[in-house]
Amino acid sequence: MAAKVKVATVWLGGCSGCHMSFLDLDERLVELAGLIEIVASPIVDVKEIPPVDVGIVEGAVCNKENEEVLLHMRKQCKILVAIGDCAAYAGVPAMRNQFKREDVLDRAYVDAESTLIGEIPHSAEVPELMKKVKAIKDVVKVDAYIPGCPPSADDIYYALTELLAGRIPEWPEGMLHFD
Amino acid sequence: MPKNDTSPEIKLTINSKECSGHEGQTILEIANDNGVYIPTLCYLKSLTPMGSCRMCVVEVEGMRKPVTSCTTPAANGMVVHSNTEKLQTMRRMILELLFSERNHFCPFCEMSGGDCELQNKAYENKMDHIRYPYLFPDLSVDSSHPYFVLDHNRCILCARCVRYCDEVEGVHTLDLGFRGHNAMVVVDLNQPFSESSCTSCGGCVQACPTGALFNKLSSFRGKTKDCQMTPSICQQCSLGCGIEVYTRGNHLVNIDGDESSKVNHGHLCNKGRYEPLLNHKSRILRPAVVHQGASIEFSWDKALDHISYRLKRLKAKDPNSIYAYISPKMTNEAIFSFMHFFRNIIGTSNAYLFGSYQYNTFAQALNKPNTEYSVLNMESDMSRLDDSDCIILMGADPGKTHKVLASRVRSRIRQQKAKLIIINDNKSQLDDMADIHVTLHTGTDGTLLNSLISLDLTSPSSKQQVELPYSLREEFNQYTPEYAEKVTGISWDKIVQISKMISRAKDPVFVFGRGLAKQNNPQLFQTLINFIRQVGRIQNGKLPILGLRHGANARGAFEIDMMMRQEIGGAPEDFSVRLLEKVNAEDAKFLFLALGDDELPFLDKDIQKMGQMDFLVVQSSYPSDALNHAEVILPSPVWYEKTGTMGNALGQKQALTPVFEPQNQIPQEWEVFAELAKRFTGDKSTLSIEQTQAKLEEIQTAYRAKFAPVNVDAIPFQCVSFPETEEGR
Ligand code: SF4
Ligand code: SF4
Ligand code: SF4
Ligand code: FES
Repeated sequence: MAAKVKVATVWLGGCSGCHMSFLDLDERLVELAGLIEIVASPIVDVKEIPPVDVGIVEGAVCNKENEEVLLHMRKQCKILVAIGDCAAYAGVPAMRNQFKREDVLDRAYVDAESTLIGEIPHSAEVPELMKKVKAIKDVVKVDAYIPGCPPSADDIYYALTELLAGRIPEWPEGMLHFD
Repeated sequence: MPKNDTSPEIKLTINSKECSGHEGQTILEIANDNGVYIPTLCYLKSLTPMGSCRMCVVEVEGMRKPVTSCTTPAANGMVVHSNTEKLQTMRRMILELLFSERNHFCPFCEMSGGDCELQNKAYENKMDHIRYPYLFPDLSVDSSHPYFVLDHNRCILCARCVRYCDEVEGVHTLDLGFRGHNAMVVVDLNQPFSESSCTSCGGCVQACPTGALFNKLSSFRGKTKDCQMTPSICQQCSLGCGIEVYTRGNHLVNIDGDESSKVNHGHLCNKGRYEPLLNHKSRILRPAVVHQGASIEFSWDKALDHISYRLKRLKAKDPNSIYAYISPKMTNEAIFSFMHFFRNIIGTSNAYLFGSYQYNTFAQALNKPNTEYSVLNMESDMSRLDDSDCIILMGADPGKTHKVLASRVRSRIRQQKAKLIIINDNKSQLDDMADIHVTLHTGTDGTLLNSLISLDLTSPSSKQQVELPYSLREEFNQYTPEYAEKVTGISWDKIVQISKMISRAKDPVFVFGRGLAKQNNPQLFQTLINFIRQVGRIQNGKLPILGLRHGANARGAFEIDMMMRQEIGGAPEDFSVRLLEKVNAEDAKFLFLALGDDELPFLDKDIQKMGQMDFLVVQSSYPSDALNHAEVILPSPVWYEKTGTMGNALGQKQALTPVFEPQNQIPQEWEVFAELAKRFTGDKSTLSIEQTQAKLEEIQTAYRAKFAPVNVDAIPFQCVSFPETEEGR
């Protein structure tokens, strides 16, 4: 039996919806488990990313930590896959890009209706927000895309089986969707 | 560019398919006609092509660069490719540029999921990511319009909205402002919609390929693919525009214009598109009998028994003490069954159609017995406007009453294809666009027309004048500048300008409205017709006259009313009917008001008359003052529940498709009259709708066959003197 393809996943500035869709694969997960091994992921115990064949990235690059994780993932994987609209197009998190970063922070921490006296957190523990939210292709080279907000389990299954067959998935009309 | 079948045929090859078309057509038009798909974004069939999006690029052998097929004229022998690898690459790039230029967050967009042409094109072109850097421009959203939102974040600057507003609605509220990548759709002089010249037709929203313009009322209530579409006919005015009604469950979600309709070609006004969605009026849902001030619900059978019992007693005594009125908003079938019941079965000569005077006066003007069918065919239809080079509105304000017609007028004027003259006793919506607009003293239109005839006699403008005897010319000569100015209140200068403008026109069309009709004076129409004869503008026996009437089925109802009168013989002298004018409280005992979903402006004196009746039946969809004195109240279906046919102002019979089942199974109006009839004839079964329609058709055909067309030349050429009104003395 051929060695299993090693896969790692991360989520950056995303809502975890893409990972939930992945879990939606249901019994197909069992089938895939025979072919791939998820070595690191928010949905398995190991979070530290070792060298892998395929790295799957959910979420946009919203802060410095996202950037660091992404750069690391790029180093560790052979094929990098953007999953979901946020990773592919910057998506919903990028809605803040029309505003200044400081205004966005003020709106959330100082001017929020529920806040009496607020301040913007500035501990070293809290990663710094990027000026603009970026799609991951604006930070690293991306090899394949699975758009959708979120992509359906079918989309993910299609993309994975294509990759396993050694092809970069092409999205036939009727399958591609941005919502 | 419209397809011009008379120009020479050409043949070209598109994607190895032999295609044929005509000189003057674009490559895209020929491809579409021959079933070859070329993707487009900024192209919309009804608008002048602009070539701004570049989606439709094609390669033509022998041409150096790819060209936009929507703007490139086809030529004989062309070899065109629309789907080469190079073109696919270009399209994908164009799409990526469009997406990176503004802020498209599809998951949050109402149009996402089938209703966005931009997104659909992205899917078609397998755009799974965007290679260009996003600009994330800081753009605003204008939600100040009551019916729709303009979100610049999603605009691709295709200018479909701009061209629609200009070319179809004829308002030009929208335009493109600013330069380069700062270009924006601007509303008037970059104002909010709420402070703009927008007429709320909603055409731009229907035209927009993206989520940049979307309707508030239908938002997030279902995508097109989740809705059911029922094509039907708008019943808000007598034009009868084709509509597409989108529903989900038992909700009205959206109304769009039906592009296949000969009346409106997909265009609508706010009354047709939005008002029906806003109507949340309470309805009358069950038959009720009012007893000592309390209204008690009854079954249909009981209520109708109660009515027929009263009717039977009065019929035996004096059928003419029974009065019955029906609204011209009812279907042909309803008018027919109603008139059949009251005239033929009950035998009263007091069954009337509300507002029939609007046609009748015109009929009388043609000097024919007022039961003449063909008078209607003397009038032109709306399409006549499309060829006219001078439009004269008399006592008409289509911008308020018949808005789709107003948009036709406006776009002619805007394209500088026609002049516009407005003669009215009041301000009207189109005044600002008019070449000449005059406000005359109420009721002096006749004097103005006489002055115009007199002017034309002294300085003849056309070759085809009628030869008038000397004595008649003398009579017209009395319309001196001083007299005309004094009576009409219009300066002689203006009258001369009007005369010149009309006589210079090749194809003037006169549109009259309530202002003229309400004068209820056949001689006024005769004078108008004679003026038209004088300036020699009658073509093929058709008068270049168009009437705007109240009531969705005004024309159809009037036709049937006339026929039915003829059928029973002994048509009354005059059957002009304005609200309850005809009700003679002395001998009237019973009054049946079939209002349906029409809301008629009853006056206090009408309501008073209702109070004087022994027995009042009101059949209506909505509660109103008319119910105050009612003995029996019957519910009526509303527009989206109606089955049957209507005759629009163009003289076409159009079928209504019910969008929903009538609430509470309220029967169609014609069924109610048929049920009443059964109680008198002893018939066991009522006619089906098909049988009713067949019978109606039969009478109509026989009726039409009987009459020869009206001969305009038979109308006496007289100089009628019109009353001088108080103001104009
Ligand atoms: S307009 Fe179309 S492409 Fe833009 S956000 Fe809406 S659905 Fe997406
Ligand atoms: S609703 Fe009609 S009038 Fe208003 S901007 Fe749109 S097209 Fe123009
Ligand atoms: S608002 Fe819509 S129709 Fe108008 S230019 Fe923008 S995308 Fe085109
Ligand atoms: S459709 Fe031809 S350029 Fe837009």
